[in-house]
Amino acid sequence: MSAPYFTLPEFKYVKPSSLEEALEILEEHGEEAKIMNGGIGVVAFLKERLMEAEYIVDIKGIPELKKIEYIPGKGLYVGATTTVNELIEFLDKSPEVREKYRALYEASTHLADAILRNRATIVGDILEGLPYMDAPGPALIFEAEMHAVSKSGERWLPVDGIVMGPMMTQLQPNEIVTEILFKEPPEGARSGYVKFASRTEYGIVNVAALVAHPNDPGKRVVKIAFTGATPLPYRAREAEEVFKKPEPFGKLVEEAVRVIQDSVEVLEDPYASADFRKYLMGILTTQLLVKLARGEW
Amino acid sequence: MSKQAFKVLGKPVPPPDSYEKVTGTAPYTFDMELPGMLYAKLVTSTEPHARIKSIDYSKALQVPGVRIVATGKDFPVRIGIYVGDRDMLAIEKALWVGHPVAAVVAESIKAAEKAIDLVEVEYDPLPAVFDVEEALKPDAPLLHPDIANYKISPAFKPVPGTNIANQFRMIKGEGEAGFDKADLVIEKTFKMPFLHHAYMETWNTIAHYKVTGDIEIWTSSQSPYAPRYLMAMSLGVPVGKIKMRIPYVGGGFGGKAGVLIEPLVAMLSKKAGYKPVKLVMSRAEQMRSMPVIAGYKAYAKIGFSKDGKIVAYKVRFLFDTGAFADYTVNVARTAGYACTGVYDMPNVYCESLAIYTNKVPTTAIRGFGYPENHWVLERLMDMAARELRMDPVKIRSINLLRPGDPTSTTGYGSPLRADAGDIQGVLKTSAELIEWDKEPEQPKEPWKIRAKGIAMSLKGPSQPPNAVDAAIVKFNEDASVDILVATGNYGQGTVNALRMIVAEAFDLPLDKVHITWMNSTEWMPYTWQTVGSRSTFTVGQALLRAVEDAKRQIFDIASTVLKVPADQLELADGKVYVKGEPWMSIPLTEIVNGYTFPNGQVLGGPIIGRGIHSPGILSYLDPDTGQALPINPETGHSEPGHATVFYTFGSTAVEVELDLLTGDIKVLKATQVYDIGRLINPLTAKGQAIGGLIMGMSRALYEELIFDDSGGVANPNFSFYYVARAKDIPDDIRIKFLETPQADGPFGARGFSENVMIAVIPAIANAIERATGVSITELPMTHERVWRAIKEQRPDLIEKALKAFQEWKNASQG
Repeated sequence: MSAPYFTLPEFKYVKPSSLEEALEILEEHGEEAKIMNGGIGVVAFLKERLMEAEYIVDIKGIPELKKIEYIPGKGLYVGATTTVNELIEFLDKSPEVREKYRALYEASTHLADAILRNRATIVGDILEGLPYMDAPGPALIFEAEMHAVSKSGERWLPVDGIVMGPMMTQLQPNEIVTEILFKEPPEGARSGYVKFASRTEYGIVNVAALVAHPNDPGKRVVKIAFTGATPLPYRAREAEEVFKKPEPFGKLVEEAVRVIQDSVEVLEDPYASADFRKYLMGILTTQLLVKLARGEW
Repeated sequence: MSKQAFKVLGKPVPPPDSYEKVTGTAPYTFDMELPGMLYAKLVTSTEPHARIKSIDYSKALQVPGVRIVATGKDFPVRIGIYVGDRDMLAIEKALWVGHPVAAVVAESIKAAEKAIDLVEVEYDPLPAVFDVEEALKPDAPLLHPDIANYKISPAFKPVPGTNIANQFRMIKGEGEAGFDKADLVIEKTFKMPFLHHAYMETWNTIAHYKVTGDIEIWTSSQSPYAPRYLMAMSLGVPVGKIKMRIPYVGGGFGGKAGVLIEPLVAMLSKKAGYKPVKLVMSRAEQMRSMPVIAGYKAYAKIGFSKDGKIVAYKVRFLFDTGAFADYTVNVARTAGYACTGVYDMPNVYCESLAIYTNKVPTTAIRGFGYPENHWVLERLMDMAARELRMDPVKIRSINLLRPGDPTSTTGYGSPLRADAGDIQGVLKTSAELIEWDKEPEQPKEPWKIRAKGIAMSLKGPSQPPNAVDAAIVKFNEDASVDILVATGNYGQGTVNALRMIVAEAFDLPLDKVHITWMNSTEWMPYTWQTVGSRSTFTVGQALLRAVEDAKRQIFDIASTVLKVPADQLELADGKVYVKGEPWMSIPLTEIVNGYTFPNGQVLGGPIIGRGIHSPGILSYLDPDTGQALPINPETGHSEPGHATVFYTFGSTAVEVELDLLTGDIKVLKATQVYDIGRLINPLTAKGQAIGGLIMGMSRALYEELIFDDSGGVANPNFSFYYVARAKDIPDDIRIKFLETPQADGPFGARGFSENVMIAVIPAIANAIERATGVSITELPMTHERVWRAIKEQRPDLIEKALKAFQEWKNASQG
C-alpha cells in the first residue's frame, strides 16, 4: 500500500442480479473479468495497480450468495457475500453454533475492524491470498470447502491448498464461489483463535486450534493451523499426528511444537524475524492447546 | 483571584467546532472546489541520490485534460523557515526515493494520475547515505554542497562542506571535566526512529495566482502568517499580495508548521495560466514525499555522587533530518539547549547535530526536541536509581530544579523564575496518584510482571526571540464580541480557551463572544505561528490587553455620559456601572457604536480593542556556549536573557504489565499531572492529557517508519505504520492539574498541550527497568525488541518464565 493514487484504473462495472448472468459474463470475458465481493481486497489491489481488469463483476446483487445456515451433522454454510458482521451477528444469536465454531467466531471478531467487517466477507478474506489473513486458519481446522460454480458445472474444493499466493487461487476464471462449508467439528471439540499483532494491524502469528478429548488417547483429535507466520495458510498436519500417540497431552504438546518449529517455513519481514515468529508459534500454540484441553479458553 | 470568582474559567466548555466536526459538516481544504480549478499530481524520484539527466514529459502532455508539466527547472528556488534547504521540485538532483521531481497539472485528478506514469525521468545515480554516522564521515556523499548560499536564520549554523545542517553546543560549569567528581558514571546509547505525525488530514493546498499578481491560497497549515512570509521571501513576491486562508484543519502535531507546499501550488497556478490549482496528498505520498519526524542516535553519559546528586552530564544527539533539515534544525537545537530536563546540574556538555541523509525530509513535531531529550535523561535517571539503590521518585526529587532559587538553572544558563510552577508538587502528585508506595497486584501467570514507572517532563515553546503576536476584539451591534486572532484551530481547543479568557475579562456570557472557523492574513492580525503550546499564553496576553484597550474606550464614553471619572467605572453583565452605585449604569449596547444622546448627537464610534504580546526577555543563544545572550536593559527588561517565555512541568507515572514470554507490554494505569498555572477549560485540558498519553504510548510501543534498502519509506500507510487505537487505551487514567499561576500568563495560565506526551515514553520503559532490571534504550518497544533485550540482559528471567510456563502446561496432564 504505497502507490500515490486516489483514483482507480478504468474498468467497466457490472452488477449481475443472478448467478446465471454472472457466470455468463465470466464465461465471455475470461481473465479480463474480476470478481468483486466485499471489495476490501479488490479495491485496494486496483488502487495499488496490482490488479488490472476490464470488467469488475460485483456479485453482491446475487441473492442466493447471501446465506448462513447451520445443518447439524453437516456443518455451517456461509454464503460468499455474507459479511463478517452478519456472521458474527448470527453466531451471537445462536450460542450453541458459536461454541461449536468458536475459532471462526474469534477470528471473525479480530478480522480488520468493525466498520470494514460491514463489507468484508469470509470467502473474500480467504481468497485474497495474503499471508496474514484471519479466516483461513479456522477454515483449515474445520476442514472447510468452497462451492465453486461455472457454466460447465460445479465442484467442492477444500480450502486447504486453494490459495497459492496473493490473488492466486486454484479457481478457474469462469468460476464463482457461492458458499463455504465449515464442517461439523468432532464431538466434544473446543476451538480457539489467537491473533498476535505487533506494530501492524495484522498478526505476525495467528493460530487456530481445535481439541477434542485431550485426555483420551483413543478418541483424541487435535487440529492446528497458522496464518501470519507462514507464506500461505498452514495446517500443521504432522504435528496433529503426534497427538495420536498414547502419551499424556501436555507432553505431546511439547513434541508437536517441536515438529512445527522444525518443519515449517516461516516469514521474515521488518515486523518480526523468522526466529521470533517460530518462537512465538511455540508459545502461542502451547497456550492455546493447553487452555482448550483444560476448558479454560 | 480565587477560583470561585470566575464565571467562565474552569468550566467544561465544548469547543464550538466540535459540532461541525462530529456532524461531518466542517469544511477542510480537501473539500473545497473553485470554478475552473485544475488538479496537480507529483512525479517522485525512484532513486535515493541521483543527478537528473533529463525529464521527458511529452507523452504525459498527450493525456487528454493535461495542461502543463513542471519540473525543478521551472522554479529553481529554495524555501524553508530556519535553514532554507527545501526545493519545490528537485533542482538538478534527487535526494531521496519519493523526492518530487515533476508536477502534472490537469483538468481532473484522474488525468493527472494517468499522466504521472508517463513522465520519463532519466537519472544518473550518485552514492547515497542513509545513516547519520556514515553521513558525518569526511568522504560521505554531500546532499547540500551549496548550503552556504541558502537563506539561514541567524540562530543556526550549518557547516558547509559537510552534511551538518546545524550544530549546537551548550556548556555549563566545567563541562566534561565535571565527571572527575562522580562516584557513578553511566554511559548509554539511545535511539528514536523516524515517525509520521499521523494527522488525519494530509497536506492539502489550493492556490490561485491571479492576473493581478495577487495570490489567494487555501491551505491545511497550522497558521497563516509564517507560510505567507516564507513563501513571499522565497518567490520574491510582495508579502501583502499573498492572501493565506486556512479553513478547518485536520490535526497538525507540528507537521503543518512553517511552510507546506503552498509556493509550489502557487507557481503551478501561474504556469497553468492563472487558474486555481489544487494539490492534495494521499497518505502514501504524504509519508514518502513530504516531511516526517526525525529519528536520532544519542550518546549519553551521566555522573552521580553517592548520595544521588547529578554532578555531570554529557549528551551528543545525532539527529537524522533526512534530505531537508529546514525546521528540524530547531528541533535538534531545542533538544540540545533543554537537554538537562527538569534537573539542576552543575556541569553540562550537550551537543546536538542535525545531519542530512538520503531519506524522506523531516520537520517540526509536537514536543519539539523534548520527547527526544527526555527519552535519554529520564531513562538515565532510572538506571542511576537502580545502580544507587535509590527510589526513582527520591532521586528525581533531590535533583529537581528549584524555581526562584538563583543557583538553580535550566541548563542554558538563565535562572528559573520563581512562579514557574510547583515542580516538587507535580512529582509528588503523580507518585500519589499511581500509589507509588503500594506494590502492584501481580497477575496469576508467573511469566507476567506488573510494575510502576515514573518520569518527569518540562516543555516550553521554541520560538525565535522576536516572535510577536497581536489580537483584536471588536463589538457587534448587540454588544457581543468578535475575537480576531490568527491562532490556528486544528483541534487543540486553544481558540475556544481564548474565547473563554475574553468572556471572563469582559464579564460577558460565552454566547456573546464569537470566534470563526476561517483564519486568514486578510482579516486576522499578525501572530508569528500557532506552535509550541504558546498561543494561550502569548495570544491570551495580547487579548487581555485588547480587552483593556476596548474597556478604556468604553469608559471614555461612559465617563462623559455618566459624568464620573473613568477610573470610577466598571464593566459587568454587559453594562458599565459606577463603582459602588450600581443603579448608575449604561448598557454596553448603547456604547459599542458610540453613545447617542436624546438629541441624536453621537459621542464616539465603534469600539475596537487591540493588544500585543512581545517577549522582550528572549534572546538568541550563544552558538558556542548555548547560553542566552545578554538583553538590553533599555527595553525595560532587567532579567538575564531567556530561551523561552515559560516552562511547564509535568509527570507521568504508569503501571504496566510485561509478558516475559512474548515481550508484550500493556499499560494498565497512567497518571498525567501538569502545573498549568490556571485551568481554563477542564474539558479540553483533560482531552489533551488523554490524547497526549495515547500519543506517547503509541510512540513508546508501536510507531516507526521503516526504510527499504534504497532508503524509501516501506510502510507509508496505517496498516503497517501502526498508531495506537481505541483498544490500546488504558482503562485507568488519572489526571490532575496543579495551578501555580505565572504572573504574566493570562489569569496565570501556561501552555501544556505538547508536554502531555513527553514523560509517557520514558515512564513505560522505566517501569520495565524496575520490574526486570532490563534497560531498553531504543524505540519503539516492540515485542521482539523487548524479548531480545530481556534475553540478552536477563536470560535468567526468560528461563524462569519458560520454566514456569512448562510447569503450568504440565499441570494439565491428566
